[in-house]
This record gives sequence, C-alpha cells and structure tokens, in this order.
Amino acid sequence: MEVERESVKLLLNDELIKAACNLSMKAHNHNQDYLTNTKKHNASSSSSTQILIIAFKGSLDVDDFYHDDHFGETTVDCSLFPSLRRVGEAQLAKVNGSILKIFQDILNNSGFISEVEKAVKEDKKILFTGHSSGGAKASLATLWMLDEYTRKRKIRHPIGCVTFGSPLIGDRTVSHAVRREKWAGHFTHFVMEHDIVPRMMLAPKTSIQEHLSDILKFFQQKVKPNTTQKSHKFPKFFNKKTPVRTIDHDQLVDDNQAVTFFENVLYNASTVANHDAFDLMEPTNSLKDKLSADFVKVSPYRPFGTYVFCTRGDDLGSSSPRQQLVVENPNSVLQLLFYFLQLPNEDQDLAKFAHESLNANFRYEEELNNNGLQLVKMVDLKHLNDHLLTSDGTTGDTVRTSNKALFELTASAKWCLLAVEEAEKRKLKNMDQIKKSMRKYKSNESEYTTKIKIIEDMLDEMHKYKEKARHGTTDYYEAFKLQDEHVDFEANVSRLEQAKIWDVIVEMVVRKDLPDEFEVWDELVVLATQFRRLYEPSDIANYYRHSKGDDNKGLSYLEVRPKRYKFPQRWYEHANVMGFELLSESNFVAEIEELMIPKKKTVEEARKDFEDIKDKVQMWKSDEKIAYEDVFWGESVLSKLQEKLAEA
Amino acid sequence: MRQIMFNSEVELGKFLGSIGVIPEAYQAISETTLAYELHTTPSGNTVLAFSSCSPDYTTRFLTGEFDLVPSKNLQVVDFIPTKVNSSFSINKAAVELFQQLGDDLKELEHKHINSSLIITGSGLGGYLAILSTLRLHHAIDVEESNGSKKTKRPICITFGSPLIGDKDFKSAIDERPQWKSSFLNVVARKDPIASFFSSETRYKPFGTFLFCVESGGHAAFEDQDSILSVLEAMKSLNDDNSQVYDYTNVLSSIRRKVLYRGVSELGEFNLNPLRAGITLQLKEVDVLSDITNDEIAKMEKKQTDMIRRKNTVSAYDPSKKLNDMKISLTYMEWYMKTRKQNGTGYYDGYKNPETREEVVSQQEILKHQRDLTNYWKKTVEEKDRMPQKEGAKLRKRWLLGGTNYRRIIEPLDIAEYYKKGNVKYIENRPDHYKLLEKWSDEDRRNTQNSSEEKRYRAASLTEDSCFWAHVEEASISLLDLVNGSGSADSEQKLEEFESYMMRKINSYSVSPDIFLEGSSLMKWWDVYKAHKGTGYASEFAQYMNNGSYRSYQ
Repeated sequence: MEVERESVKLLLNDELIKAACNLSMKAHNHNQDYLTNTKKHNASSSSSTQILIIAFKGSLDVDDFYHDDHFGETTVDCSLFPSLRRVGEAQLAKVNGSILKIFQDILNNSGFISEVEKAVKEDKKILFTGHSSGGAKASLATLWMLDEYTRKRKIRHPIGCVTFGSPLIGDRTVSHAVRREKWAGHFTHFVMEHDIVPRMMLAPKTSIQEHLSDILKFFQQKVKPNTTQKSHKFPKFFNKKTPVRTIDHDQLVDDNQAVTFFENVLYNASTVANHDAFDLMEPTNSLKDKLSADFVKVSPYRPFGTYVFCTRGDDLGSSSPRQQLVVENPNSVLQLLFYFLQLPNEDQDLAKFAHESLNANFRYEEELNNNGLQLVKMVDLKHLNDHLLTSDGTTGDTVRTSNKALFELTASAKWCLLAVEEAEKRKLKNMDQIKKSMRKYKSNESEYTTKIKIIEDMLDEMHKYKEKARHGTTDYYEAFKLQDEHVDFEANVSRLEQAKIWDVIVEMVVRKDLPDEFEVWDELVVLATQFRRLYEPSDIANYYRHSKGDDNKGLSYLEVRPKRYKFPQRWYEHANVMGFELLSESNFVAEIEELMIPKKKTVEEARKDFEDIKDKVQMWKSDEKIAYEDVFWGESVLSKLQEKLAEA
Repeated sequence: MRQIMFNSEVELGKFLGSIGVIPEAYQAISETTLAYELHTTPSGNTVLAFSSCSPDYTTRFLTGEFDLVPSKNLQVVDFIPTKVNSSFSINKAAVELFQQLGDDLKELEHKHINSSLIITGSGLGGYLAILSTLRLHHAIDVEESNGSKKTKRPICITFGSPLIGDKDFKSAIDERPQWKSSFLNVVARKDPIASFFSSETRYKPFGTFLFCVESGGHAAFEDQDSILSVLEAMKSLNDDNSQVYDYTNVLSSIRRKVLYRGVSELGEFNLNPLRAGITLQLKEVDVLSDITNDEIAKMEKKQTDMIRRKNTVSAYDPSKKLNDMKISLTYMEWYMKTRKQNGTGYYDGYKNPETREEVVSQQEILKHQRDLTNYWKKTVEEKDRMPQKEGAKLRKRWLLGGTNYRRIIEPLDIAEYYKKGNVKYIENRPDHYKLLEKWSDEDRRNTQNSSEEKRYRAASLTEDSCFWAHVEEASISLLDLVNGSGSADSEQKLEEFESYMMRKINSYSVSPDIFLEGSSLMKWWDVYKAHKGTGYASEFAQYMNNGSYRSYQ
C-alpha cells in the first residue's frame, strides 16, 4: 500500500506494520505518552532510509472517551488543525474532546514536538501508530503534522499513520477535509471484523455507561497482562465490589454485561449506518430527518482514511486464514463497521459473540504475526462493487472467495455499498456540469448547446467593460453605479447572469452535492477568484446605488455579502494557506462606501480607517499572486473619500 | 449509463427498528394511568402519552358504531382546514374523545411550543395523539408567524391506531410539509383495531407506517396505496381475536432483529435494487404472498417517478428563477431609464409608443414583462394557498422583490388597460397585485415600530403602483367636465385627486418622472388649468403654477 500525496510517500510493508503493532501494544505498559523506535525502511528501491515509529499509549478511563453524557465531541482547535473544516462555510470540524485534550497536553508538555522536529531534520520518515485509543491519538498527531508541516511549512516529509482497533474520533467534516486534502492515503486503520472498539463511539455514553467502566477495566487488564492493579482509577468501584480481583479476564465482564454493551453499541451503529444509507438513496420521506434532528441521538463520528478489515476466511473457524478488505470511501467503511458486527444468524450464541467482540480488540498482534499484511491477497472494495449485485452462480468463484465476509452480507447491506458508489457518481456528474459552464473544452464541443453562457466568456466581457471605462472620464465602478450607458446596463445583466451560475454552485457545495475535493480544485479556485475580483465591485456598486443600507436597517454590504463572493474568497485563502479575512482586495470598496455615510463613524475614526485601507491596498498591489488588471483599485471612491475627509 | 435506484424505505425501516424512541414511547403509554401524562424517557425525551381507551368504548368501536362525520361545525378540529381543503371527514370517535379532554390539555401542549415533544397513544388513544399533535402544530404556526424562531415541532407516534379520516383530511395535512412529516404509525400484524378500516375505501392513511410482525420483521411505507394493501393483507391474516394488542413483545423483537444479519440472499435476486427492495419489505412483514406482481410493479413505478421528479425539479430551481427575475427586472429598469431620457416617462412611452425606437424597445421588454408577471402570479397564488398563518412567514422573503415588481410592472398593465378604452382599473385590479400590496402593508405595520422613517428625497419608483390609474380617472372626469357631460361628482373627484397629489408630493412618495413634460399627468394639468381658469389657486394649482414641481426631487 502506498501512502501518497504529491511527493510525500511512505511505503508500508509487512515488517513495518508488525513493528508498529508490537510497539503499539508495548506502549500500553509504559508510563510515557508514547514510545519510539527507529527502523530501517527497506523500501523496494535499493536505498534504505530510516523511519521513526512513534506509538501512542492508550488511555482507558471512561473520561478518556466521553467528556459528556452523549458523544463527547468538541469543536477542533483551529490553530492546531486549520484544515479540519468546511472551507466555504468556514465550519469547523468536531473531534473527540477527551482525545483532543490528551493530544494537546502531549504537544505542550512532552518533548514530542522536538522529537518530530529532529526526525524531520535527520530526514527520517515518520510513522505514527497506536492501538485502541492510542490509535486515535496517532490519527490526531498525523492530522496535526499534515497541517503543520505539509501544508503550512510546505515540507514534503513522508508521514504515515497505522492504527489497530482505534475508536472513531472525527465527525463528517473531518472525514470531508481528509478526502478534500487527499490525505486519506496517509491513514491505514486495521479493524478486526468483530472488534467492538472501532464501533464504540457510535453509541452515546448514556446508552452504554452502565457497564462501560467495567469493560474498560477489562481492557486495561488485557493490555497490561503482567501488572497487577496499581492505579486505582475507580476507587468507588473497588470498594463496593469484590476488593480483591483475580486477573482472570473473562470474569471481569460477565455475560450480561458483555451482551448489554454489545447490543447497545450495535443498535446505535445500526442507527448511524441506516441513517446515512437512507440519505444516499435519494429519499423522499422526511420523517427520518425530523427524528434525527430532535429526538434520536445520532453519533457525529464518521470514519476517515483507509480501512483494512481483517475478516474471517473460508470457514467460520477462527484458525482459518483471514482475508483483508481495503475500503477507502468513509460511507462504505461506516456501512461495513455496522454490517460486519452483526451476528451471522440467530443460531449464534449471543454471549459468546459479545465476549468475542471485546476480545477481538486484542487480536491484532496475533493476526499480523500469523497472517501478516496480505499485500497480495488484499482486495479493494472498489473492484468488487460490480460483482455485488450478481447472484451466487454467475460470478467466478475467485471473486467471491476473495472476500467471503463481504459476499455473505445480506442483499440490503450490499445495496448500501452500491448506493455509496451511486452517490459519488452523482456528485461527479454535478461537478462535470459545472466544468462545462466554466470553460469551453474543445474535446467534446458537440455535447453542449451554444446557448449556455460560459463563465470564462463573461469574465472577458467584464474585462473589456472595465478597460473601456478606464479610458473614459470615470472608472467602471462609478460608471456601473450611474448606469447611464447601455454598456452599463449590459454589465449589470452580466452581473446577474454570473450570480445565477455561482449561486447554484455555492448552494451545491452547501448541500454537499459535489465531490469532497471540489473546493480545492485548481481550475475552480482560479476562475472563482477572477470572478470575485472582477464582479464583486459591481455588486457593491449596485448595493450602494440603491443605498440598500437604508432598506436593510442600515446593514453594510459586508454584513449581507453574498455567499458567491464569500466562498470563493475562502477557497482562495485556503489554497494559499492564509487565515480567513473579512476584508479583501475584492470588497474593500464597500468599506470605503461605509465611511462615506455620515454619522456612522466620527471623523477621526474614519480617517484612521481610511489610512488602514490605503495600507492594505498597497499591500495587495504588491502581492504578485493578485492579477493587477482583475482588481478594482478603488481610485474614484478613494479620492472621493479623501476629499470628504479633507472637508470635514 | 442508467442510474441505479434504491428503495430508501428499506433503510428507513431499519433505522426505525434500531432506535429506542419507539419502545420508549410505548412504555410511556403503559405507565400512563390518567387520561394523559407527561413522561421523561431514559434517553431524555419528553413524551405526552395518552392512556388507552376504555375496553367498553373500544368494543363499541369494533362493532362499527363510529363512522366518518363531516368537519363542518366541529369546533375542536377547526384549525385543520385550509383554503384548498376547506372541509373533510373524520371518525366520530376521534372527535368525541378529543372533545372530552378539556382546555388543560391545550395549555399543556402550549407549554411545549419551544421544546420537542413526542405525542403518543395506542389504539383509539392514537386518535388523541394525532389530534393533539395537529393542534400543537397549529399553535406553533401561529407562534412562528409572530416571528418566533425558537419553536420546535412535535412528533406523533401511534400504535395500532385505526385510520382516522378521509382523503380531504389527509390532503389538509399533506399541504403543510411540517405537519405531514411528523406522523409515525406503528402497526403490528395481529392488531385487529389497526386494520379495522382498511377495506373502507373512504378512509385514507397519512404519515409513515411501520409495520411489524412477531418474528421481528418490520418495514416502513409512506405511499398510501402500499399502506392500504399491506393493511388489507394483514387483516386477512388476522385470526379475529378482538383483544387489545400489546406491542411490548413485537417492539422488542424488531429491535432484536438489528443484531442479526438475516437471510443473505433473496430468492429472486435481480439487478434492480428498487424492485428487490420493495419485495424485501413485503417479505419482511410476511405479506409478500398476498400482494400481486401488478401491485408491486405499481409501487415500483410510483417510487421511480418520485425519485425522477426529485431529480428533474432540482433543488436549485428557485435560486435560478430568482436570479432570472432579477435579470428581467433589470431590463425593465433600463427601459424606464431610456423612456425618461425621451422626455415622456415610461408610462406614456409604453401606452403610446410613437417613434420606431419606442416601438422596438417596447418589443424588447415584453418578454421580460410577461415572465415577471407569470412568475409573480404563480408565486402569489402559491403563497396564498398556504394556510394563513404559516404562509405569512414564508412571504416575507419574497415581499421586497414583489413590491419592486408591482411598482414597476403594474403601471404598464394600467397603461394597457386604459389604452383599450376601459375605465375604473382599481375596481378590476388583478388579485395578485392586491395581495402583494396587502401583504407588504401588513409586513410594514408588523416590522416598523413607532415612527416610520420619513423620506426627504423623492422616491425613485412611485410607491403607489396604482398612481397612473388615479391620473387616468382624473383625466376621464376632466374630459366629462370639458365636454359638458360632467357632474358635481366629477368636480369632487378632481378635488380629491388634487389632494391625493399633494399628499404624495409632500411625502416624497412619487417619482419625479411623473412631471416629465409629455406625461399624462402634465397633459391633464394643462387641460385642467385651462378649465379652471387663471384665478384658480388651490394648493396643488399653486404648486404647479409657481413651478415648485420642477425642483421636486
């Protein structure tokens, strides 16, 4: 498997993953937050470089999973994770609050940062890893490093992340951002078919808290087989119940506890999976939305990155060789997280199965040592979708036996996997439509009618209008405002024609009807930026021409700025790794217009703001990324304001 | 490549089976001893549960004692009808039982306008839950029309409640999307009350039905014909024990079903997941053998059509249309501007195009005028059909555009009207203008607090969109007088017109364009001035004679 983003490659191999898994399990037994180990990374090429493995230890207290009664999610710290958001809406992602807190402490207190820094300097590749909640921390560390090094500092350092039975930690915005940034390949999450831990966070704390502390207790014992109870993290619990505990794991959790816990996790996993599958199937019924808005708590967590499901092989015996299924689409991962955990049939012993789902979290080492990473036999779900609808007889046995667990799923489970693919196709189709409205693509000209106005052509028209006005007595902003000439009227119509196209594009983004990577699509960002710079002044002129501020209870343009300009500005700022600003080279004119409205500010304040704007304009003028001829530099309005301030 | 379609109701059924809200609601009913009680469930929801109806009453019901009654004069349900669905029929038992519950219930409902409430009842208790939910929805509509944004909609879960009303009742609910989506009816196969009216063709189901069988199989349907087919099939399977059905076991069975995968392949597994999904649904609730292939084909076609319709009527059309209308309005504005430069103003330019250029530019805008009128006629019609209070809230967003449209386009309609030799436009004014003006006035009264912002500059668009109708009427009255066919009535009308003009001028609510030399107003004034003689010195005459109008701006 290759972890790739541009030049950032980290090739995982059998040996590396085994080392990561062993270190992850070992990390549980140490006091440090993480363990490190340097390995030779003998990639297929002859040159072998060094690789630093950083394995985070798990935290297994109730509070380490849930900091509240529900799902314990919290808004992400945007200075640490600037990319974890929806760009256009500027909506921040949510992650597990407890894990975030622990990770922040690690960043602040330990030598973690210098360790990473040193590895980068020494040109060591970095592999973050961890088991259970240690894996969750490894994921956060990887996300942090991708933002800090790859994006912000533009250091193309090979980074990878491998987790084993890690709980989910990010909401669908994290999942969206990871796909948008093409980071999914950096994460490899191993999940045993029946491991309960990767499903746990789909349940709210209230639904599983009855036995949660006992089960986590059991997990602690499992990962520290050689230590007796030292840390009394649940003093109450120990005082009440049997004071002396044997290390017999299976007695820590009785059948009833295991079954209740298992059932509640599975009910909630079902709720989330069905909820999302329903949405993917072009539903017409709105009851579900109503229920999940106010009455049913649906977990915010969604998977991200690449998942490797270790499934049972040819027969049900646990000793048979397992098969590994690779899944990248988060929606498919979610469906499989649910469907693989279901009992195959009602003859199964529920208690045994429930216990197995707890124990499965400790089978990764064994799995990898016995089976290794089955690079050759590993199957990617993408290649199986076409076979999902065929019945037993018609497909070659090789495909079906290549992943028995998948093909044994019920028909309706398979429909969910197919619906995921269909939904992706619809998104791509929408993007294709937009592509056609952007530029004239020579290859398939016959496909669309000449009726459609192409954005690019309209930009040219506006360019011409702007140029022409420059040679007249006034600039295009003033001319547009006056609307005296027929060309001004034409420009106004062109403004609205553009609005028609861009309003829909923005609405598609908001409704999530476009592929995740849409907002970082180069061609879009370039065109949207040009559109914003050329057209926004005309919208501002139109706003102050009608002095809409009066009708709108004195709101300034910036307070009601259309999304068709807000979004493109954020796309541009994101693409250039800048912070999100309110004022920009395309809308500062609105601020000048505001300063011209009497009574809004004192003369002193207005003077100061005026100077600030002038400074900013200078800054933008010297920014080589900003095409000089696209921007309206505010000549007429700036001099008007200057006169006005001089008079005052 | 043809798109693959799926049956999303399969997933809805699984979703409903997995959630705890449904068994919790039933539990609340079982714990209710009074007529109705509030409960808080383990998952933190508030439930208003109606107790089950007395066995006697239920027995009477099952003998068929209660039938549909017309809604007319039934005060308890007078909040349900709408303009379009002004009357309906409802089962008598529902009305009778609901009437027995006093105003205390209404007050209790009111307390939950801003907090999400689950309203539930089983058997005939479900009738009460439905009516209580509808009444609360109505109260929320009223609250929202007063500008509240804190409201939360209730949800209604019934267990084995028989069908309650006719197709008009269903239509009245379906008309309000917020109401329509809040009903879940759980029906177990062995419940005799639930399918009691299934073969009574006058009754129509509404909301989502979750059917379930003892083994835990369950499936969700929203289409009324499918629901009726399943209900009917279940009824035929009924062993007719008129016991009140206890849902406790069946509810825990359907939840248990979540734990297991079920059958891995359907017998006839085909390449059409939508159809296979429908088959699976029917199989889940053991009625597949009672439903004909034709019926399944119909269900499939209906769902296919719904998905297709959803795709063609794109969610983005309203936004596109709105921008189209802005473009048309821009064309109109440009037209107004060029007519002004001609010196006659756009009213007279439109009414009597003289030059070739005037004719051409009129042709150019006709399409836009027509598009705008069609759009606003349709929009106004739609909004008006909305139940009164609910509509008011939605209107606000459109009003600004509507007012602009009215002020720009209505003068052109007036021009057309008088050009054809008609009189008394205001008495024959199209409804959509009247409504737009009425709503805009209401909105202004509601939003503006004490002092209306005074104008100090002339409006760029004349505010009274009927202004030119007043001018035309004044011209007609004047013509009568000049021709000698006038009366004292004509004189009075002209006096009224003068004072109307002064009011408009003093409030700066007319556009300066009206005083353009070639305008109908100025033509009228020339004749009027001559008719009145030089000595005439009313306020308006002075204003015109001393040329004040020239500096009106």
